[in-house]
Amino acid sequence: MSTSPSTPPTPQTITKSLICQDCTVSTGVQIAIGTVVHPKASVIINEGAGPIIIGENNIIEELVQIINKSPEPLNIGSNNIFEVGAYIECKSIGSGNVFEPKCKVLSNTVINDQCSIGAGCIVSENRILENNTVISQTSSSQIEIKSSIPYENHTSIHTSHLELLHKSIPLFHTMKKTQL
Amino acid sequence: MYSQRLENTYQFNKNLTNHDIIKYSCNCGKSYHLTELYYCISCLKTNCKFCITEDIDCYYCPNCLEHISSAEASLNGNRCKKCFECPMCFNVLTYSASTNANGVETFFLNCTFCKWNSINSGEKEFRFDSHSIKAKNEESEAYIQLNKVLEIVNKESAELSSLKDKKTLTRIKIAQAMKQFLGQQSKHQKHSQRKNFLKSDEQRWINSSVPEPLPDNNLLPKITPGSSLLTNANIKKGLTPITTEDSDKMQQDRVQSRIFNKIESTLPTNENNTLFDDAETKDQYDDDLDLDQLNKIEDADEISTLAQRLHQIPTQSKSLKKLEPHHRPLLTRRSKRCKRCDRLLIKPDVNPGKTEFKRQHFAYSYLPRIHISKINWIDNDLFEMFLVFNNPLHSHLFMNFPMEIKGSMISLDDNAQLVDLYQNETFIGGLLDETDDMEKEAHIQQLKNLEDARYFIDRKDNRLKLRFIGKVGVENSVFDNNGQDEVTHLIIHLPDQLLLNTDENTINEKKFNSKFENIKFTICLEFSTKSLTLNNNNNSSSNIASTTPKDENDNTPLGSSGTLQPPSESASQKTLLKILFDIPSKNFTNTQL
Repeated sequence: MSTSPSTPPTPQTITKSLICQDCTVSTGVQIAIGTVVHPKASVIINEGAGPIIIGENNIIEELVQIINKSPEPLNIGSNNIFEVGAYIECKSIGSGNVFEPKCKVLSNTVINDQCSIGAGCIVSENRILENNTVISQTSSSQIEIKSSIPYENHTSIHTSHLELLHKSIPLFHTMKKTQL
Repeated sequence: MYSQRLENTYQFNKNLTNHDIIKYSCNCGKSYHLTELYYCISCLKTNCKFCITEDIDCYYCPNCLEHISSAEASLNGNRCKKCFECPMCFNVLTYSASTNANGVETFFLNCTFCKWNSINSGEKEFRFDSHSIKAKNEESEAYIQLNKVLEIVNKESAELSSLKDKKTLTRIKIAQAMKQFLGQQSKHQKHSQRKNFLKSDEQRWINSSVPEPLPDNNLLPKITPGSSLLTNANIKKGLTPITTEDSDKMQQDRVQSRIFNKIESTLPTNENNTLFDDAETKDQYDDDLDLDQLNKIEDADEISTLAQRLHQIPTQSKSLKKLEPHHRPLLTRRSKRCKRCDRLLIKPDVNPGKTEFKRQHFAYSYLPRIHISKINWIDNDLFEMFLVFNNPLHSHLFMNFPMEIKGSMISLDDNAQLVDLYQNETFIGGLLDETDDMEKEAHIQQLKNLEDARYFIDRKDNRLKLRFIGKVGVENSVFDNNGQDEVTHLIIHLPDQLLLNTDENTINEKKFNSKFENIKFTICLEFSTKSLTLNNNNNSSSNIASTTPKDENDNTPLGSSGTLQPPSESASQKTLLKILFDIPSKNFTNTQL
């Protein structure tokens, strides 16, 4: 990092997105400022499919697959977190969503804002999740409730999480060069 | 007594593939995996889970690891005061706080796994402060009924204790027993005190039973206010014998209970329940109250599972929305005693944070550990087996394979037996190989010299590898002896065609068919930390010397010769162990599959 050690750790403004060298990003994917793509993540556009537009301040962790197979563009809002191994194939995603490890969102699903998809959940096709939907999976059943609490938990740590990643990831990984 | 193979009880023993092969017999005839047994060093016998008595030493919460006194535990229904369980996934709930727009801070319970929370998930917000939970409990019908019974029993036992003739004494006992069974024990009673009126098998249920609402039990006395429960007249009334009419009626009731009762009166007074609006004209049955509700459910995930319902004993709601979190059940630490001599076998540390024991007599650390290093067929229906014995002790372990024992040599479902056994005493070295006893050392040396290479494959540190030869099929004469405690002899018939191929390394390519899927047989073993022969007769050396030539010459069927140890006063010094083998034939190295 270029910041001098004498300056106090002020919350630095994030001016660029971090895309690791080791991840797969197809051409035609637009990634806005502040988004972090971890190594081994993949953002893929199938042949003949529309673009993927990713908003600001998203975190895409390891082994996440974001795939667009439809001819329409896949819009992803801002402040989402895709945790390890999530599989996203849906129509559009709002902002402030949490996708926990190994969850699956199948094609043609619309996810609005501030939803939370629990670990290992499969969201079936052609669904529309309204704001504040929480889906979780127990050993026997899938539970769907409306609650804003997971979102509140998420927002309370998301900015600091991003700052930490922006500080630490360049120290240990080589970055893809972006046009910015 | 015949030994019997039983299923392993501990979860960690259940699903492992090889944990059913070797079982150690307890003295009561049941046999388990070595790790499930205890060893009483004063009786020198093994104890299984049925041969011990348990006492609860302490209660603790598995989540917050707080030690809870038994009085407090029973006051709270054996549940932790602080920790809650998620009603959906049974994880521990965490306390969280959130501030709304007005700056008011609210606290709620939150499941970090399935995202259940006490604000949004239920039909209404779940209040988890101690006051509202207590109020809810006290409203419940079971609680009221239980308190009524307790009150009366308490009163009566207080009255009775002033009288001291024989009749009242028994009534005092009954009253105390009922008090204990129903009520929250104020004090942890001494082992011996409880023995007075409870059978030992029942004892362990007293403290472990959770004072959940009692089921509707006809044997429980019905309380009418003001009546006394234990007067002679009432006892008689309660003990009317059942006649055939009654039993017929019970049977009829059972048949009737399978037919759903129609419900005449209009249903739930709950206004919120709009489910029955259109169902009013239809017949309502007792057992499918929410049939319409079920029909309306689009997603089967909205119905609670059996496990979830069983965690909600008061309501047992079928709807996920109505589930409520409960306090986490406590765990206990128990000390275990030998049923024969009442000595402590296991004494755990009372501090829940510590995992070590104050006293531990697990069989694993006293009995020779046995595993099969190799087993293969040497002829049709003849197999040889290499067993490795491990001595867990620091001192020498002497053992022999007795030719006659009190009780049965085999277990009932055995389909094979050993035909060739080393008949002398032998030993296994300890972990620390120090002998300060000259006599012992000389004896060990002597035993070593007598070793026959036919049986002894390898000896190193605290390991001993022995060869056994077994035959499929059991002599009928072994089964004939059905007497419980008669002395049985092991009858050995060594087939003539058996070529004792002492060379272990010859590889026999031939494959054999197995008659049975599993080969089951039993080995009896006596062991002791003191020499089995040395202490018996002072002229042990001559004894051994006199018998050994016989062994080498021919393997005469024993039972008549002098190799048998005469029963002596030091018989209690050694431990008799039956080891039950149950080997799948596919585990033999040269089975034709």
